[in-house]
Amino acid sequence: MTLRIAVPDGALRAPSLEILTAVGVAGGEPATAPSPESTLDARLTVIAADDVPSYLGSGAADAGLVAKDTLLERATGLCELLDLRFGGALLVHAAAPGAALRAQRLGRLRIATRHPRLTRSYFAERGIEVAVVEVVGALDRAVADGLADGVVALIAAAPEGAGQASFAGLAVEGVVAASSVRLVAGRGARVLHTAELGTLVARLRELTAGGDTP
Amino acid sequence: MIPEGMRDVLPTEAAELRAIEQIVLARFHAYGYGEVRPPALEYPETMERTGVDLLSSGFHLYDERGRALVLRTDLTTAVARLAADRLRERPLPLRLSYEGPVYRTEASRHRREGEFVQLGAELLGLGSAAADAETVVLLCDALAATGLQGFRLAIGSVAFHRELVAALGLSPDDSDDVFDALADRDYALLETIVSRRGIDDDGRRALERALDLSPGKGALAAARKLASSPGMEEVVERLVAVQELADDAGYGDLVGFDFGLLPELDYYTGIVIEAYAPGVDFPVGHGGRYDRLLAAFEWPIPAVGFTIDLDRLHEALVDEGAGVAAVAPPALSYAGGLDDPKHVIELRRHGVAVAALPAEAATAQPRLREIGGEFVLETLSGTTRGSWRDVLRALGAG
Repeated sequence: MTLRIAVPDGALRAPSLEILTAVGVAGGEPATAPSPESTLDARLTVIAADDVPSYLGSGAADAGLVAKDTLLERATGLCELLDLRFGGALLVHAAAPGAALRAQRLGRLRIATRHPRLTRSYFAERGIEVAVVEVVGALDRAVADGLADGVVALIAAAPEGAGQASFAGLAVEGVVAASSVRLVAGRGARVLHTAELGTLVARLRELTAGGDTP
Repeated sequence: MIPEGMRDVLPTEAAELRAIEQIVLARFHAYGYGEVRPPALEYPETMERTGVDLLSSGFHLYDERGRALVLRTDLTTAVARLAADRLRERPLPLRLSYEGPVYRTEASRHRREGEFVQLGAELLGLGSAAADAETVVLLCDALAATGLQGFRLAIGSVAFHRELVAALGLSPDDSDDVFDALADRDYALLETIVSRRGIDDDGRRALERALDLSPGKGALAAARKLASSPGMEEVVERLVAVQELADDAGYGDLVGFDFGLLPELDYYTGIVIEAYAPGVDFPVGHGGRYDRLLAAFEWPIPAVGFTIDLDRLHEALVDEGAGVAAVAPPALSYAGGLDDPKHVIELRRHGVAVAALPAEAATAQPRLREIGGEFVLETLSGTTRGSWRDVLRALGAG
């Protein structure tokens, strides 16, 4: 049976297609077609990254590539099959200087984020009250524009010893979660497409095993 | 307006749901399961006694004396309570079936409905692999009887993982992490635990191989190789026996073993079962062995069973493009039959469903009209014009 694989559009699109092509999934960019003898029977659908969990959750796709921060934020109940070790990123709390004092006086922090669920639980665990401002677009001007005192936003995972991390000139106060791209399957797909998923996981595991350990 | 999470079911859908219910209940009956009907309201203590959190998602209310009540959130627990209260003196095993709604405020991951119908069968008083197998076979049989084609069952075992983790000698915290990762199907997290915690090489290999116990026929053979304690061997032998009995019943090809399968409700103690169909990423049926649940009602007997999720099964059937076989055809609209019912009475006596309408009423197919002394019968299969006798013949009622 053909495995329907959902690929995230945007920044993750090119590396996702590359890794899938490398393990024999045809249907990506024609220029990067795999050799015929190793081809996996699969059909790729490129969709908005945030929509991949919905496709899997409703059974419209069998497997997909999803960033870990999205899985945590959405609490999807999907099966994570493998850490693909690319698209590495950190979800961090970054704040303007003086935000802590302001928060002390007002009793709470205003945080702009695209990850409201993770933001609330992160600060709740630390006993800090937050007012979460949900943002759909970019976060780099949120503090400068006076939308919030700080942000919870994704930054590229820095190589070790790269010095103090920052986001749009704001100091990083703490790490909310580490993220990288994961191979994910729907619960039903795991049962109905056992053989195809098994082959895909085995090939991807072999391919990614040589990479850097996070 | 209706409350969030509730929904109205209209005639087309209701007719199909009714047909599915009747097919499934007939299969339960064919295996000797007697239907029980526990009430919609239970005391919170009943739901709480199981030790599983069945209350936080409940609709809570009070009777006129201020006593707390809860709309049942789980029918297996309600049926266990009923059996312990009312059927304790009956000879074992007891085979009980049920059909009805359960109510949950907190939508689970894949479910928006706050009210949904479960069709279930519970086998009380038998702890054997043969009892597990009957549950598996009956679930297959009931799903197949509705016309569902592409479904598969995943079978796992809570006991296998308990034994596996115990053999690793992990700290209680790490054991919990392993179980959580398995329950969340977070395989990447499991790999992280393997690589980061102080697990020795043997344990590391065991857990890595457990991760590789991908679902399917091979999983059982792989699990047998992995079994490192008498407890684990026993679990595997049990599942082998279940598989053989499922083979005998002709459902072996539909059954695969998945050692990554851990259920949402943690009263299960042995085999766990989930049934999936294409296009619905939520089990159409699930169940397992729950040998400690009846003990919560001071009746320590083993039990195993499953429930079918009626809405999800219906959705899977619609997605497969299959009609539901036993759906009653729509009634014949008969304009004029309301005021002059003699033909209506005759048709109904012949088993033809008729909606009698006033003479001028607008009607939809299938319909029967009388135009200038001639009868006109319009159905999906065509139009018949002629005498009353012709109409009866066309309806197979002559």
